[in-house]
Amino acid sequence: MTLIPGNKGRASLRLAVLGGLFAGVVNGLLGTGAGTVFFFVAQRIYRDDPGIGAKDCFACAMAAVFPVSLLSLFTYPSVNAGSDLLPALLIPAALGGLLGAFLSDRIGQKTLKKIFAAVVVFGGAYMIAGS
Amino acid sequence: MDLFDIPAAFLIGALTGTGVGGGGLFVLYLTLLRGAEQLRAQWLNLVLFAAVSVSAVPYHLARRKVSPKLLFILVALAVPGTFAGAAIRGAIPAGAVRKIFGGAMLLTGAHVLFGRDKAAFETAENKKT
Repeated sequence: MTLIPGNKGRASLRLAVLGGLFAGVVNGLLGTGAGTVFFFVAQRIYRDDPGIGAKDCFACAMAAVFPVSLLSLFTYPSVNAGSDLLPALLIPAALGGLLGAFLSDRIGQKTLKKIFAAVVVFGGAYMIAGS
Repeated sequence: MDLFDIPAAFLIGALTGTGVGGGGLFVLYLTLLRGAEQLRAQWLNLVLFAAVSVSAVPYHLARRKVSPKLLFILVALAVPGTFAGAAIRGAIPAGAVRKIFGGAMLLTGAHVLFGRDKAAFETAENKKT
């Protein structure tokens, strides 16, 4: 597998560079979102490559977002890190992530995606409308 | 701590691990249901997302085709981008960050609902695992 299949190397490299920069800005600003940008970039780059599927693009996005999230953590010096919520959430989140990765090969994700989309649309609208 | 925190973290972690989405859900849960401040919720979201990644990434990398070169380019360019984003965050009020976050969630949800991805997870070409 090459980074850029065919003769679209330069355009794909440009997309990767711009996408990487943009993902960093989004993650640095909002504390999330880099994975979505990385996934979009990988999809665009490999859209004509039948050997690369959505799950490969997702794996790429998730692997890339891990170091970016760790870096982003250090840009929050003013936030009180001693959260009482953190210990309660950390282990269940990690176990859920492992289960999700395991289930990703075994369940249809169409319905889950629609539920996820509905939740974030509702939540986003609430955040914009709220004070 | 609320007893509901544990199943919520587990479910959101599982959604994130499947690839459906989820990073932003931690922030939505913490701000809308737990009353956390926006920036504090974002910080917690980053910690939790890192925890999910630690458990899910090895599984995915062992089974998928990932270009190390693409990975390197994305991460390398995201580093200066992260500092730029943090600088923007520091220069604007937290309320504005919350509204931008809400807008980003709306766009993400709309894209998932109405976007036409070539790489839908259910297509035959992606049945390979």
